[in-house]
Amino acid sequence: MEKRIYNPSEAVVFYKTREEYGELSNMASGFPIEFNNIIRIPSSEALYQMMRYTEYPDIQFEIANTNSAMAAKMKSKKYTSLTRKDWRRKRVVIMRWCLNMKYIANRNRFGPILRATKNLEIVEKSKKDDFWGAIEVGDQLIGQNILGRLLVELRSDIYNEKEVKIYIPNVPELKIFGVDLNILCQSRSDGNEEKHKVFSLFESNLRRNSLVD
Amino acid sequence: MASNQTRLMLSTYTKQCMTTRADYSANILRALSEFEDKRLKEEDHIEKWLLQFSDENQDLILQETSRLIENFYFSEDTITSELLSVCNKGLDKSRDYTLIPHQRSGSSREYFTSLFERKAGENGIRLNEESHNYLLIDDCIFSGNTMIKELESWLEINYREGITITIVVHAYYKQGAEYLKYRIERARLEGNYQFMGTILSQKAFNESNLMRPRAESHESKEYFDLLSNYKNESQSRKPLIPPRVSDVVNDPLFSSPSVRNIFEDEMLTYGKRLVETTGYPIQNSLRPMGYDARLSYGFGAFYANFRNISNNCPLAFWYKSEGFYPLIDRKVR
Repeated sequence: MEKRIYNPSEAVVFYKTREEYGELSNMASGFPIEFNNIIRIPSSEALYQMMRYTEYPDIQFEIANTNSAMAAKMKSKKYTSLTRKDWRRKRVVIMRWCLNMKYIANRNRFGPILRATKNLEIVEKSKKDDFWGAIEVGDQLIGQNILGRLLVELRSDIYNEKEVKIYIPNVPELKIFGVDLNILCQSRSDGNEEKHKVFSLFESNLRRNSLVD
Repeated sequence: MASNQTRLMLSTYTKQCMTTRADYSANILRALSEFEDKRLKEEDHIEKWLLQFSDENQDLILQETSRLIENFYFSEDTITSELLSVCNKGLDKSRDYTLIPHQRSGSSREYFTSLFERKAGENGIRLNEESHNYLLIDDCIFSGNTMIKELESWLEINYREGITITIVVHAYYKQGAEYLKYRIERARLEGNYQFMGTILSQKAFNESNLMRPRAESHESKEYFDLLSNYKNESQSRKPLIPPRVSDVVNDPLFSSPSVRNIFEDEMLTYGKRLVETTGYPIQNSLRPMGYDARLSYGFGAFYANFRNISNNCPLAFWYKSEGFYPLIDRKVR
C-alpha cells in the first residue's frame, strides 16, 4: 500500500496513550479483551502479539501475563524467530480482528472515543514506524498509517451498523492457549453447558502443555 | 514456568470480571450514603439520572461520575479530620483566636464554625471572644464571592487596626482564593491579612480542575457564539471566558483527556437545556457548567460533601426542573 500524506490539523492524531485520543493506541491500558468470560487478554497489543505464536501456548501465556501493553510487546520480541510463517501476509487481517475485539469487549468505553473522532482521518503518529503509523516530516505526517485506517474502517462499521459482531478472521490455525478461536468465540447464548465445554477444553490444553498441574 | 504461578493466572483470568454498570452505580450510592436524600435509597436512582443522557455515552458518564465522587466527594469524617489537621499545623497555639460568626442560618459556615468550636479545645486551639486574631471557617471556596460578601459586611462593623484574619477551609479553588485575597487586601487589610493557603495545598484546585468544554463540538461552538453575541449586543462588562484550549495530561478529574472532552460536552449539552428552561440563557448567573457571574460556560467545579453540592458544579448533577431528575439533591439553605 502506498504512503499517504496527512495534515495534522485536519485529522485526529494520537501519539502517547495519556494524551488526547491515546485510547486509540494499542498500547492504551484499560481495554482488556475477554473471550466468553473464560480468558482475559490485558490489551489489544498483547492479543496481536500473541497471535504471532499460535503454535506456542507457553509464549502466548508469557505475553498475556504482563502488566502493560509495552511489556507484552517486549516479551514478544524475544521470540520473533518463532513467528508464524504467514505473519507478514496476515498481520493486517489479524490487527483488524484485534481492533474489532477491543471494541466489542469495551464497547461503552472505546465506542465514545471512536465516535468523538467524527468523520476525520485517524492517524497514529510514530517516530519510526510508517507502516502502522505515519512519521512527522515538516508539518505533515507521512506513512501507510494502517492502524489509523483500520480504526476509520471500524468507526464506519459502528456508524453504519447498529451491532458490530464478533467474527473469526480467515486465517488458518488461529489458537489461543491451544484452543481454536472458533471454539473460544462461540456465542455466550449457547448456554452454560457450552461454556463449560470450552473451559474444559481450554484447561486440558493448558495441562497438555504443562501450563497447569 | 512455575505451575503455581500459572494456576494463579488461570484463576485471575477466570474470576476477574469487568466492572459493570451496576457496580459503578453501587460505588456511587455507597459513597453518597450519608448524604441526606431519600432518593438515594431507591434502587433505580442512578439509572433514572443516567438515562437522561445520550445512549452511547451513558456508561462513560457513569464511570467518570463514579471517579469524580470517589475523588471529590468528602464524608463528614474526612472533612473534620482534615480541617483539624490543617489547624493543628497552621495555627499559632500560643495565640488566642476569635471565630467570625456565620451570617446565614443553615449555611455550611454555620455548620463548620460550630464543629470547630466543639473541637478546638481538645486540639489545643484557644478560642476567646475578644482576640485580635480572627478565624473564618468554611468547607470550600469556589469563586470566593459568597465569602467576600460575608467578610466585607463583617469588616464594615468590626474592622480595627491590627487585626488578622485566618481563613480555614477544607478546600479551595485557586482562582477564587486569589480573588478573595485581592478583595480583602483592597479592604485595607494588607499586612494584617493571613490566608492559610499553604496548609491546604492538598485540596487546592487549579484551573485545570475545572470543567470547561473545548471549542471542538458543535454544541460548544454554538454556546460560545451565544455568549459572544450577548457580550457584543449588550456591551456587558462581564468578562467573556473562552473555551478550554490546552490538553490537560494526567488530570485527576478524568481518566483521560479524550474522556474529559466527551464528558464536558455532555454536561454542556444537558446543562444548556436546563438553563434554557428558565427562559434566560444569559442574563443571570446560571450557566450550564454551574453558577458563574462571568460570561462563561459556567464555573465547572466538582466538589461535594456530606452536606451539599455546590451550585458551581455542572447543572446536570444537581439542577431540579420539571423535566430533569438530578443525581444529587442540592440543598438551598
